[in-house]
Amino acid sequence: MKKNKTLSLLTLVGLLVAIPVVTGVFQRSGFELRISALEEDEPRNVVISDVKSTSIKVSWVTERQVIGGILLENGTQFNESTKSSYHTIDVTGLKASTTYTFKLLSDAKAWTMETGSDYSIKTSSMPASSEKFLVYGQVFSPDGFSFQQGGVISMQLVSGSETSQIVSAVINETGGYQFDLGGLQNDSLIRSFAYKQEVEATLKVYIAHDQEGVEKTYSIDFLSQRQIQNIYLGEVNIDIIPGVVGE
Amino acid sequence: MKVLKFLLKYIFIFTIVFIVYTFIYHYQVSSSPNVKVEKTFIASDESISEVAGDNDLGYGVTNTGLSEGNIDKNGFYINIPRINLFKPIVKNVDPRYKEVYQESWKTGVSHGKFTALPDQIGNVYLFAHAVNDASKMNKENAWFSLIDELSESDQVIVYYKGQRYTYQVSRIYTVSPSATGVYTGVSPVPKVTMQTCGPPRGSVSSRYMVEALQVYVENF
Repeated sequence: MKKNKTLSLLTLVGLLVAIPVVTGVFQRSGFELRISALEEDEPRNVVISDVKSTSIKVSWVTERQVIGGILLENGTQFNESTKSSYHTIDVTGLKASTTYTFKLLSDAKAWTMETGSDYSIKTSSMPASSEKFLVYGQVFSPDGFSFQQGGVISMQLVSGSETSQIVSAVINETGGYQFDLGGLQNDSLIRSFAYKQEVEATLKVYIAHDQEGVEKTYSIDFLSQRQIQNIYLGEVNIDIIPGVVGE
Repeated sequence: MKVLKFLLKYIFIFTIVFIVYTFIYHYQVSSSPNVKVEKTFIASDESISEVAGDNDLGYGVTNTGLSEGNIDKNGFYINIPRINLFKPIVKNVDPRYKEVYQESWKTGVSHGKFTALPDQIGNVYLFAHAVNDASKMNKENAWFSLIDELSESDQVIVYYKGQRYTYQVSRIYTVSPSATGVYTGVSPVPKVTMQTCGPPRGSVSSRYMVEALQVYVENF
């Protein structure tokens, strides 16, 4: 009887010790149990943006950190240099007014659209502008206080009846992002979009592989400001632009 | 007696578990790798040196004849083509001590202590003296005398540790001398803020501010 009691006691202690030890080992080795309907490498939330006469930009999100790439139909590849879950690639050296089809790469594995077709985009006929007009902003994570570290963000402007083409960027480790509005065209890519005025800006932030983007719309006057209102992904919504004391 | 035995037994179990948990916690903390956060906006991993101490360039460097071809590739320099300014930058100058920053101006433009460096995401804060009579600029080490001639889209080039960082002027404004809020290393995107006295040029009654956003980073 006494032996049984001692055995039970030892078993109890053993279990209590084993659970945190095993959990700790898994945590330290980066082991994760995944239950997901989506493939980890599959590109999601793909945004084709910044379409110019000689270049386009493609941004997307993957669940796993991979080296992203783009494979044009003619075999030309554009690859990122580091692994990430958030990807943006400038495809350059293109011809004006030409339709290009391409696949996205995740660690060299090629992906098409969900329909099975390649991605496709026609470059603009308007000559590329060398003008640069940088605007920027910051994204805060759903907790409302820390920076959103990583993500893909896109923006489209509306002025009166005209809508701009889409521009996109990757969010950096301090929640920052930057768009170049120089040479911005309308969404039909047939004329310049007047962005140096008061416009309605719709921004979409993609931070998860399997979720829709968080959408925010602001009224911005790019004639007088370059900094876009802070984007809060959570419930906290203190949309202020940091001021300058004494300004 | 039975109750006492029961209590003692569970106190014993609790003590053992507590000791084991404490051991595991300390083991995990002590063996965790040191995470080095790169590109932080605080220059915390830099060895902060006084102006008269170790900096990238040493003293006695002037703007005479400085060009991309003859500067120290691992040094820290500013080049503003629009106003023909090409000077060394003295790293980590404390703006609270007049004798310290004035000493740094003998070498070149001051980089504000605790603000970002070009290879970090944040605000690189640069400051220098300005004089009303620009012909006295060299004599009085007033390297930012002409930055009030800059306008939006002008380029500001900074060389740092073998990289050429190109910025584009995006904002020009003035603040009162008490507006210390502008002195910060925090910015969601990499940028340079340049501060000098004025307007009017060289006046201590206000501060002239020029912000430039990073456009390119290249090896040089």
